[in-house]
Amino acid sequence: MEITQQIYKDDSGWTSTKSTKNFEPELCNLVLAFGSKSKLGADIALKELKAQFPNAQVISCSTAGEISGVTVNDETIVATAISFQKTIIRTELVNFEDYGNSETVGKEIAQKLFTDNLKHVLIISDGQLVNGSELVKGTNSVLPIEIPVTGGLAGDGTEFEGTLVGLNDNIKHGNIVGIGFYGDELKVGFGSHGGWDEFGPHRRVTKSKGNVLFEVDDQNALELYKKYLGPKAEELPGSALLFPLSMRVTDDSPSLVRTILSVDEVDQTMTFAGDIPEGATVRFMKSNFDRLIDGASKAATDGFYFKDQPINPELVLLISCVGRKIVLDQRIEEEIEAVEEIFGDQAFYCGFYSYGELAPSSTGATCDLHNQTMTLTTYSEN
Amino acid sequence: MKYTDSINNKLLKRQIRKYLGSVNDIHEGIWPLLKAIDQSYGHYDSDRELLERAMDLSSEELSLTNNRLREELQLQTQVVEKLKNNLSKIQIHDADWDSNDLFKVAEFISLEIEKRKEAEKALRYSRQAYKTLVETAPDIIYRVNAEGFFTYVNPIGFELSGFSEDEIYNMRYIDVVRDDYKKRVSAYYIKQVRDLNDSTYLEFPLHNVEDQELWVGQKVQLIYKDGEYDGILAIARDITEVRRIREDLKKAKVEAEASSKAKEAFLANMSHEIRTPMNAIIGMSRLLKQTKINSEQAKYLNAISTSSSNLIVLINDILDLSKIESGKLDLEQLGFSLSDMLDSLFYAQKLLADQKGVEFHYTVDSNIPNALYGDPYRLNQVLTNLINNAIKFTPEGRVELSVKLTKALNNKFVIEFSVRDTGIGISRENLKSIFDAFSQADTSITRKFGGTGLGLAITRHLVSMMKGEIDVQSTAGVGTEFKVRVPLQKADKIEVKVEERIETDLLDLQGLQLLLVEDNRINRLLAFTLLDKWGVSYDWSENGKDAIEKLSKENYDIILMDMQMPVMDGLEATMYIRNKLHLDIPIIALTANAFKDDAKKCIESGMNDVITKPFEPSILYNKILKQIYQKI
Repeated sequence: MEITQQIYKDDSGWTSTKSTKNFEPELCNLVLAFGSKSKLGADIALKELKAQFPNAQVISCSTAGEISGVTVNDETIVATAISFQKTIIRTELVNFEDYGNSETVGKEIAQKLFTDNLKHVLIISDGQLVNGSELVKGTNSVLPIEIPVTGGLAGDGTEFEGTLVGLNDNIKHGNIVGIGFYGDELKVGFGSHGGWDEFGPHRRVTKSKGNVLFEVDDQNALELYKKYLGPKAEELPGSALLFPLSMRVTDDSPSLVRTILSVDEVDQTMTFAGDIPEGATVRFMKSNFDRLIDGASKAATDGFYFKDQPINPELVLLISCVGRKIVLDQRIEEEIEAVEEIFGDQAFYCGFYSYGELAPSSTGATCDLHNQTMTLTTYSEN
Repeated sequence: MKYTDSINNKLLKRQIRKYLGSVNDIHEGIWPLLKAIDQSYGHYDSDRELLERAMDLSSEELSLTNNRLREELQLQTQVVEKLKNNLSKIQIHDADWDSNDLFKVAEFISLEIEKRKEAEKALRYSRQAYKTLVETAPDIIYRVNAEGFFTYVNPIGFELSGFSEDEIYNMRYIDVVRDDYKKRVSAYYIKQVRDLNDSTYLEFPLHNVEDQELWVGQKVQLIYKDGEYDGILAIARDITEVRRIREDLKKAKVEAEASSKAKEAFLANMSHEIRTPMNAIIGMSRLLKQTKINSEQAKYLNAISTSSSNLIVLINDILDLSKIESGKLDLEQLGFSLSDMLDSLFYAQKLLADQKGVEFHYTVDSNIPNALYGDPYRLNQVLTNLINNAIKFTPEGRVELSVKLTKALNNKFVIEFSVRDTGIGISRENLKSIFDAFSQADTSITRKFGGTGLGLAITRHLVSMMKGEIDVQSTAGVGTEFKVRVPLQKADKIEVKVEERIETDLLDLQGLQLLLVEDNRINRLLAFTLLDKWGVSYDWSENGKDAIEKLSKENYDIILMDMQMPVMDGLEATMYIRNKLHLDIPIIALTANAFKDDAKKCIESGMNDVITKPFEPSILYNKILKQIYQKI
């Protein structure tokens, strides 16, 4: 596996930041380009990128912050070009508008990629139109549990207006790109952790509709939420990012973090970045900088799983939640550094701040949509 | 801005002062670290604050929840108590549940409900069965409430009464009773309800739509609800036909009794009407026999005599049988002398046997007491009949009467009278029907020997009336033996004497003044002939009234009185003589009325003796003699 990394800035254009010795652009078969919506939209940068790696599939995705090495940038494009030497890469693109149903879209992508020797699927999806929970339900219904699915939902800074996902020249709202990895030589690892602590009583969702929550334990959910937040309730909705909910759909399913996207004081409802079905158990969550940074570290250690035997990764893909970026603010790079501390400075680090992370909660589990986590996928070839 | 201003945490500020001295001495590169530490301190403080709040709130919530749970538990306990009370009202008791476990309670109740359902099902089935029974019953079954209105009537009720369902259920029970019975039936049931008489039976006619006669016999049972009278349940049977049959039977009985009476009267009448001329025929024949006649004439006279006698026997037999069959024959219960009876019998029959040249004698067991209690006349009749027959059917040889004691217990005896002959005998076949009326062993017998064929039937009836038995053994050509066994009691005294025989040769009637009261001219002629022969002086009257007149003028020694006469009959006349004239002159009835009742009436009216027409001259002679002799 040969890798090179470049960063595109308005003033300096494309600049290389790190590369393996024997990287040859013609042999590159996959480019991951994470950038701000505005940079991706002005297609000049992507055209130049494509020209550099004529034989590669270029995956592009709008973000709420780009990760390159241990640096977090805004208003840039971070491109990571990879030459897989022992692994076959296949890409599939579908658009949500063609199906209108996130589960069907997930199924469609999985079915297209699911052929012999499939080892892993990476999904980069639109983060505004697509319902991530439904999307993974679709992929899970097709793919066996031995094939780990990871990925993330594209971001749009802190605007939450519209995201872009592209495969080569096709960059659009509602696009979902699936990348299939085939071959026995590829070693994949994954991990996901938030660093949020649950507190207060466990409560049952008694009234909800999709991702809108009305009542828990037959009480008004927003009222209860504010009561527990105390003085911090005055900082809503901004402070909501610091106090997501943990959720278990059933008692034996893994606990997921659900970020609050907005509160409606008139209707007394809360809208989440993922479904909150009735009957699910929820609990308040809290965190602070140190716990979040520690959480990123846990995603690479306690919460990390190798699909096969452990190996030093050559490439680490980091997809972290926009919520974390807002909370950690100036100290955001500390969570990348916490990961680098685990995998070392030899590996290439790339990634983006997303509107949702996709990964199994453990090995032998199906893929879930996560909020507020640092989600890692590591790659290396024998 | 001073670096110190960017440190918010008081604890950190104090620590900086304590460990690092003046802030001015701190190296600039240290400040970001201190700032990060300050931030962490702040975060942990707010974390703690949040957790403490959460703890408080949780505790509050827990307390609220606990209170709610307690209230719920209390409510649950109350509900369970109430449930228990309610259940116990329907006889379900709480033996089997732990009252705190609602689930168990629910299970228990569900089980009970299942049980009840089963029971209800069984009840429904049983109700259905009873319903079917009631609905298909041939009797009317109905219910009436306390106000007297019908509340249930089974289908046969509608069918028989002719009323529709709508009509019936708007009617009182009394409305279906026939008008003329309403008062009676209503009173009857008012009384039943008043007396709380649980069950009654009453028959009455219904007023039905078709206006046909419909009678019911109904059983009525009072119904109580909570101890109070609540109406009746009745089962009514259509007894119209039963009643009709009952009425018919009653009518038939009355008719039969009337017809029997008529028959009896007819027989009595006929008997009288026949006897009167027969008396003349027999008497005249006898008188004629005593005149000078040739042998041919004698033969004809004998034939008349025999035929007349037979006719009299026949009439007597028919009368006897008729009386027996209608139950009118009563047996006497008198103390009598067996030897007297047997002697009298023997002498009467010996004459017959002698005439025929047949030996006749009798033996008596010396263990039998002489004084016995029973009916000597009927016993005499039985034996006379058997001996008569024996002599009749024995051309030569002998007839034996033997009297034996077969059983003795205290004063009760069973005595066997055996009549054995060496006569023609009876074939085995004919033996079977020998005791039936109008049956003789052989029809040829009637031709050869005469007889009515009633004798043995009468004999058997008489024996059976005496609670005795009779049987017969016979071998054709060898002889016959009849055995009669009769239970008789020993008597303390002898109440009747069999007629004493009076030696007529020693006494005569010459010079006697006799009054004959007789309306029949021929009978008068017969009597006068005899009286002339006996040297008796006589006068005569045509009826009782004339006789009374004569008696007031003349003195007579004896009166012969006919019974049936115009103007005044014999009974009336006798009573007049006894009660008005106060005469004790002997009166002998000469009557063609052969019934025992008549003889009794004669004696009761004051007569001294009775002679039934037609009579033997010797009997008349003897009876007259007896009265005169007794009087002397």
